[in-house]
Amino acid sequence: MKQRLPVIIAAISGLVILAAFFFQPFTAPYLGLVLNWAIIVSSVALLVAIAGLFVTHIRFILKGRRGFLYSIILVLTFLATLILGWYLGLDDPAYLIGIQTVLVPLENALMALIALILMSAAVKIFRVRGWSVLTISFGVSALVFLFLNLGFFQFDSIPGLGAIVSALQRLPLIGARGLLIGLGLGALLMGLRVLFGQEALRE
Amino acid sequence: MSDQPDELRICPNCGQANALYTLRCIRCGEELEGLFALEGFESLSEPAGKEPEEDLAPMADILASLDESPLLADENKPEEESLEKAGGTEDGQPEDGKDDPDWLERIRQRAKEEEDAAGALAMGGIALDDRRSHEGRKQVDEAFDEIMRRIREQNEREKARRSRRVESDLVDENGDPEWLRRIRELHPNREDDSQKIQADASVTDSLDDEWTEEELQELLRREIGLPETPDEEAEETITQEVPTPLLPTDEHKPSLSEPIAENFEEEVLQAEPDPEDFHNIPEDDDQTLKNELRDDLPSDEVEETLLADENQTEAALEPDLEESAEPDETLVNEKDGEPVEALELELDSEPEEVSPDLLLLRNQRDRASVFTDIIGQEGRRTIAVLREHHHQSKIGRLVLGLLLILGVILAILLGPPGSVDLPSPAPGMSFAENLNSIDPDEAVLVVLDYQAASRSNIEPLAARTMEILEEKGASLHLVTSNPENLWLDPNQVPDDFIPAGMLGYLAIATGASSSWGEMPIQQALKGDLDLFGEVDQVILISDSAEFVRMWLEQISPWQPRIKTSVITTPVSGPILLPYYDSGQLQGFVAGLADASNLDVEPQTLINQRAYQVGMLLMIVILLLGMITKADEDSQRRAEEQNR
Repeated sequence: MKQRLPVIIAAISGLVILAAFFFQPFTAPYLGLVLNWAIIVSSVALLVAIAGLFVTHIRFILKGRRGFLYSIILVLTFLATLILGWYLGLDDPAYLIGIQTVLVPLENALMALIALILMSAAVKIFRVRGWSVLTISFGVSALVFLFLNLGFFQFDSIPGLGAIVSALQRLPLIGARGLLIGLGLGALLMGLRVLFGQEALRE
Repeated sequence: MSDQPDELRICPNCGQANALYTLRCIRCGEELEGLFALEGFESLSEPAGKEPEEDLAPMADILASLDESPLLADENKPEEESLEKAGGTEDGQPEDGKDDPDWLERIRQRAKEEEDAAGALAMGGIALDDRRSHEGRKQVDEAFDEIMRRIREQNEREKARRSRRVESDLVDENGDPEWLRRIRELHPNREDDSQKIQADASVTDSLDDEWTEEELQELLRREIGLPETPDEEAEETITQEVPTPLLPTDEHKPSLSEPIAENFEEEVLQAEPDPEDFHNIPEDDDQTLKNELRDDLPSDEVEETLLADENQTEAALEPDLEESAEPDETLVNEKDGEPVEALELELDSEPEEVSPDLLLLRNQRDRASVFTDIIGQEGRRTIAVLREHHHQSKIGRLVLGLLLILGVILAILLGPPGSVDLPSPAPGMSFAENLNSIDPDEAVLVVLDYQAASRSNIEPLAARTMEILEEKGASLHLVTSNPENLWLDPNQVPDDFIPAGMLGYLAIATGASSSWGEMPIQQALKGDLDLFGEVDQVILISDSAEFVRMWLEQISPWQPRIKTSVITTPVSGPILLPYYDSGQLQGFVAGLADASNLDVEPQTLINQRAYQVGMLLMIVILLLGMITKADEDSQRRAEEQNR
């Protein structure tokens, strides 16, 4: 019973949401109630996660664990952001500038690293996986769309080539549609498994 | 010194170098369990300057030395003991290295100079021995039992041989030896032959007469494996200490056991057809042992066994001669009253444990043979190599990365920023048309959900959209559930923060208020509790196609009258195309490529030249990767053809 209780709760919640969707005028208040419960629970879970992160790094500092300097930086930054935001307010320009000064360069650097890693992976895929239909199609499509997005040339002025380029540019639509259909089918299957209690919740 | 060479085992079948713990050869699949070798029994040759007193060791010392051998060492035994032994000069090692060759002295010197007592030079060999002893302890025990069995057998044969020697020396009143009389008794009807044999026996007697001390010494040297021409000192010692066995008296005549007598008769009978080979000197036991081994063992194991036995002969003869010297000792004591300790000392070979230097040399020899094989196999690949690491690849990556960064920097610094000159896609045009169709009295809900990294791709478009909406006089309401959007753009500060992300939007979108009061999500809103009540348009500003998809699939069905359009990044654009085709989206602009649809001023955009240079560099790198791969494949094919 202890193991089945979460499954039962999940199934009932799904049925309520589903029923609320079909019988909106009558079940909407109950749906709002369930959603607010979920919001409260998720918000508390977020607080617990923040507290857990803070306590964990405090423990690392006290034990002198290897790399505890990073823990010190994290704790100090966390406390400074919390105290300054509390004291100055979220709309304070100085506070916003301070946050942006840290946040924007960090995320930009991360994004640039991702671009380099993706480029390196694109080159490495030929060495690792050799010549296959997958790698060749990947390489050709990457080259074609990189070239099309350069903006050096306008293909609309050429009658035949413009139609070809237009057809090529609709290829992502085909791929995205297949991807979304797969996602939808997977979500449907998972929902049905939850509703019928077939999806075992793992610890 | 690396331990890598110690982890190689040579396959006896094909010669392939395998890992130490490989059970089967990686090339031919041959069992490698039989590669075990008794290193402790090798190299038992006696040093030239060895003192005779040191050579004498009973069987117990042999067993003790075997137990102390690194090969048979217990794994719990402290490693320091082995290392100290490898050090060389402390226990049981000759202090003077005057007679040692230079290379051995250099090895010892290097071992001393290492960090610990044994040094890294000897650690590899000792570690190899320890591993072998650990793994093949059972095999070691079996091999040890086998060796002890051979020693006992050889001891028995030596006893029989010496007994035959004593028996052959017995003569009757006619001068006929005892063995001849036995032959005559066994073959009475072949008197002629007997006479002939008797005539030959006289020759034999003459041979007996010629059985001098030198011959005995030669025989002993051959038995114990000494060089054929020993130095004069050793010869003198044997000559003085080992008297020629004389005729014993009757009361001390040893009695032949029955099987030994039968063997003796068989040997004599076999010697009859070839009287020229007939002599009373028994066959060399080493050769006999080799013949027996060839009969007992498979042909491929014979050579290994013989090689091992050649090294083990001294150890085998030591207890053998010790026991076999007992009757001689009795005889000598009876005759001369002199002990035969000197004989034992001479016959006693080195029973002590093998010098670590010798083990080290053996390991080095094995490694040298392994390297020789590997060098011989150079260019011939026995197994497929999945990946080959080249140092040039790291340099190539560094060069490519620097080239990419340098190109982008130069494009930013040099020249004008350029302008976006791309064709306008249909979703972008639809977004612009929808934006222009908004009436002044309409309410527009703007939902912010993007990261700081994508702000340069989104914020110029979002700012232009806000500007257009303000020009039209539409009422705007900005909300976000992403904390970053509270701080990113001071010009787009959200009016409300929606907790719990998509769940919060869904709770608001259901639009139902309970009769028992406000819900928690409604208390989080500052202004109007019905966020979607008067809204006609929703503009999602997000860099996540997933967020847009969730909005369209979860929120929009609860508010079907609200039109939705999106400002997003080029990465998310293709995912949103199906929603645009189905009419769920009024349109979307994906990054700066669609900026022309909104007439964004060029100075607000990022450097278009840097964007184009980055794209060009990516194309070049991708092409280089493909060309390099094709070149490697062609070279490999050429090498295979040449091979």
